[in-house]
Parts: sequence; structure tokens; C-alpha cells
Amino acid sequence: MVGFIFLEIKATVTDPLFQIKGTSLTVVVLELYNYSPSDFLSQLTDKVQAAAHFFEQSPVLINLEKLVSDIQAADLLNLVDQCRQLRLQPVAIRGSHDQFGAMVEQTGLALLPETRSKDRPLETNPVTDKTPEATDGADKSAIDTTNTGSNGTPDNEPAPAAVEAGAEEITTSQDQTTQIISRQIRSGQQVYSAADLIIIGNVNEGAEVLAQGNIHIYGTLRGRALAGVQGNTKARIFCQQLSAELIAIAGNFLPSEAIHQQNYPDPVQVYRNGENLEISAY
Amino acid sequence: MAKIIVVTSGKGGVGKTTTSAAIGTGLAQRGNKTVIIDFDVGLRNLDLIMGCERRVVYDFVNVLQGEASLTQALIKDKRTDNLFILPASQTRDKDALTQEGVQKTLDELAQTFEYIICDSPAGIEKGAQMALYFADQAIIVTNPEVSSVRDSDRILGILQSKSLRAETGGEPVQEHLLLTRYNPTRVAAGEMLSVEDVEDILAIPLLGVIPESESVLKASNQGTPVILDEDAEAGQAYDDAVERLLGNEKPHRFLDVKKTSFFKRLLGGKT
Ligand SMILES: Nc1ncnc2c1ncn2[C@@H]1O[C@H](COP(=O)(O)OP(=O)(O)OP(=O)(O)O)[C@@H](O)[C@H]1O
Ligand SMILES: [Mg+2]
Repeated sequence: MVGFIFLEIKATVTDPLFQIKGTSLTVVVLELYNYSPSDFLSQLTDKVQAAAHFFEQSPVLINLEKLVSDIQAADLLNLVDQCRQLRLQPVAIRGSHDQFGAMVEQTGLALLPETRSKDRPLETNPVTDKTPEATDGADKSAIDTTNTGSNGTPDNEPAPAAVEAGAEEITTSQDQTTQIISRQIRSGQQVYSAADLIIIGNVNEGAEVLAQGNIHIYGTLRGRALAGVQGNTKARIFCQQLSAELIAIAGNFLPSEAIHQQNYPDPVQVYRNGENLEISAY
Repeated sequence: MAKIIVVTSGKGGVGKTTTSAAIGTGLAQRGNKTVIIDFDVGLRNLDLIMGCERRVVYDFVNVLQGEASLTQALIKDKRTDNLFILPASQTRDKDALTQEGVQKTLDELAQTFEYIICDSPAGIEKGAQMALYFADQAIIVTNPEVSSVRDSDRILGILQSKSLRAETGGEPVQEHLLLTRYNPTRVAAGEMLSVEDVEDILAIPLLGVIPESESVLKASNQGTPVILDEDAEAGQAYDDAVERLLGNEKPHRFLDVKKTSFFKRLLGGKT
């Protein structure tokens, strides 16, 4: 989530005409490794078709930090165009200013500074998908969802408390054992477990919990919960009450609108049934 | 030991300054030597609500930058004994607030005051973080609506990760929920969240519920903290909140639509 600083501009004499506020925004990150126009389009088309609702009009951040070959301005323009053809909405490009600044300017998109952070791969179609490592190193692009905050955490060290103003508190555990957290997860906070995750407390709106395994919430899920984030389609989410902003298992999603359309008794579990997410009593 | 209490909310305009003035006054009325610090550098509001704007000579930033001593900058309240105000400057920007400077000022104040109330600016950025950093207790001012509750949740997360107590692994900051601008009629009509809704989401102890009341605006226009208006429900509710802050039990009042709640209130209110 974007750690925008919460600003308020106030007029003191006349009534204010506007107010400037910060907000959190989750975007899809397209991490580019190589670019060739035709392969890119076909691979992206596959991805988008696998989870059409998720991608429909999604804001997209194009991340050039993992790029292994050169890219020309024309390529970048083409790539942005192809995203739009598939009804994605590129909003920004992340990469070094020196290397890409001039190029990005031509696209009219925002340039975001580089991060040290490693975004979590979030496969959108993990059953049939090749992981980037499994392919031959030609044209590869992984699509991740990520938080665009600048305070991401390297995968292999515990998260330091975020220091930047407006930055989120991020708790990550790379232990292969269940992580148990006995407190409420609040707006702006994020918890990641490399195994199962148990939260004793609510997960509030604006908070995000992620696990490579199952997620158990002994409380109400009002925020986002993503289980099986490395592709484990057998992972499940359990919660005492479901009022989530988003639930996901191994890359397949239900946004809040779709969740609220369904009727289910509390408490619930969420699991994958093929490509669908099922919500039911347990 | 002086107690440092931050009054904070994330969202703007929810009643932090009104609350700082009321709670500070209430504590002083009970014989506790109290100072209220305006951390809203650049927007100066507290002195207006306290009615001492014409007596401001030096401000918090002057003290931080060594241009004035605390004794020079502190304004003694004219109505309430034991009460002092440290106003914010209207002109300087928030960069004047440094952690070392704030710490030094708080340490100095802690030698003479029992309660130090920090009136936080809105937002979650530097000014707000500075106001809460040294707090022992926090009064989370929340209005019964979704965006305010969410911002309060956010500020609670920051208290729990970025306060001095959190960083040094000390006792956590003691949290109090103060629901303000509560309008039982609108709650009953489903236009506002109820006390229970807010408590359910934020899950921190309830210090008080201040009803939405004309008297608050009237009081701040007159430069009198509303707690001094004994006829106003908002004033009475703040008075109850001060009692609870001091550890005394008080039933919550003004939670229900008046007509239907007559018997409940006769029996001492609910919860
Ligand atoms: N209980 C109440 N009933 C009616 N009006 C109220 C109440 N509490 C506060 N207000 C009004 O709301 C407005 C904002 O109050 P106040 O200045 O205390 O908020 P704040 O949180 O300090 O704002 P800021 O974020 O700008 O510092 C004022 O006009 C005040 O009179
Ligand atoms: Mg204020």
C-alpha cells in the first residue's frame, strides 16, 4: 500500500475549496525481465484471461528493476499500449531515474524511485503457470500484486519497524512454522508468514495478512487476506466473520463486492475449487 | 511522575483540540498541575479555544529553538488554577519540531507538571508522530463514521509500532477511545456508527462519548473550554471522561435518543 503522507491543506479565511488527502492503493505490479512485443502480448493475454475480473481496469505498476536486457523508449511505449489493449491501466513505472527517467517521461506515466524491496510473487494461475524460474530465461514477466510503499522488506530478514512517516508496520516471518499473532491487525499493518498464520483478533479494513499456507483468523476479517501466496492451491482461509476487502488463495481472488453478494453462515472457510473460490461454513 | 497524554485521531476536524482543552481543564480543576501543548505548528488553534490568543508572546517553536525559555512561553490560564498552555506558532513550519527538542521540553515540563497534554495535528506524518512519540497514554478521538474510525485504527497501529514505548519495548501506551460528535438520533437512523460498532472495530477501552452539541461551537467561539459549561451535555460528558481518566467509574450518558431513553437514564444509563 502506498504510504502517502496524509496531508491536509486548509484555507483559513475562505471556505476550503478542496482537501488533499493521502490514500492507500493496491496495484498490480508487472515485473519485466525481458521484452519482445509479440511474446509479451501473448503471455500477458494468458495472464489476464486467467483472472479477468481481477485485472479488469486494474491500476498497474510496471517495474523495471528486474530487467535483464536493455529496453528502448519505443519498446516501453509499446508495452504500455499493449497493457491498455488488455484493459489494464498502467499508472506508474518503477526504476532508476538515471536509467529510465527520460524514457518514462515519454509515456506520460509517473516514475517511482527504485526500492530495495523484493515484491512477493503472486501467481495468478498457479496450477498451469510456469514459474519464472521454470522457463528458459527468454521473455518472462511475472505479475505480482504488491504494496508500492517504499518500505518493503527483504525476503530474508525480519522486518525492521518502518521509520518513514506514514509507512506501514510490516511483520514478516520466514520461519517454516506457524506464526501466531495475538493482537488486532490494524489499518496500514501487514503480516506475512512463510507458513501458516494464526491471528487472534480482528483484521481491520486497510490491513493485510498473507501466508504461504493457511490463514486462521479468530475474529472478523475486514481487511485483505491472501493465503497460499506462493501457489499452494490447497491453502484455506478461516475466519469467524467475513467482511473482507479481498480474499485470495494461490492467486485467485474475490474482491469485496463479490464476497458480499454471497450468502454464507459465520464462521466460514474459503478454499479453492478448481479456479473458483468457495466460501462455506466449516 | 508526570503523565504525558497525546490527543490524536489521524483524521482532521474530529475534535482533538476541543478535547485537549476540555480534558486539560478538567484535570487542572481537580488540582492537577497541567499543561496543554499545541503541536499543530502552523495552524495554532488551541489558544483560540482556550481564549488566550491575545496573550501569546512566545511559542513552542521559540522554546524548541532556544529563543525563549519555557517560563516565558507558558501562558497561565485565567479561569482555571493549575492550568498552563504552550501555544504553537502560526508561522513556522513543522520541521521546527525535532525529537531532541521535543524531548528536552517535555523533560523540563515533567519536573513541574503532573499532566502534559499534547494536542496533535491531524494526519499521520511527522507532526502527529512527534506529538505521540513520548506519550504514556493516548486519547484516540474518533467520530462515529467509517473514515474517522479507519484513521483512528491507523494511528493506533503507529502508536503500537512507532512510539518511544513501542520502540524500546516498554509498557505499551495506554489507549483510550473518546467518541465525539455522537448523535444518537443519527445513530438510530443508521446514518452513523454506534458506540458498539466503533468499539468492535477499534477494540480499545472506551473513555467517553461526547454528544454532538451546539454548545461546543458556542464555547470555542467564546474561547471557553466546553467542560466549563455545566449545563451543556458535552461539558458533562467531558467531565465524566476526566473522572474515568483518573480511574473513577462513571456510567456513560447521552448514548440514546432522548425520548426513548428516559427510563434508562433514570436508572443510571446503560453499560
Ligand atoms: N461534540 C461536538 N459537537 C459539535 N461540534 C463539535 C464537537 N466537537 C468538536 N466540534 C467542532 O468540530 C470542529 C473541529 O473541532 P476541533 O478543532 O477540536 O478538531 P481537531 O480535531 O482539533 O481539528 P484539527 O484536525 O483541524 O486540529 C470545531 O468547529 C468544533 O467546534
Ligand atoms: Mg486541532
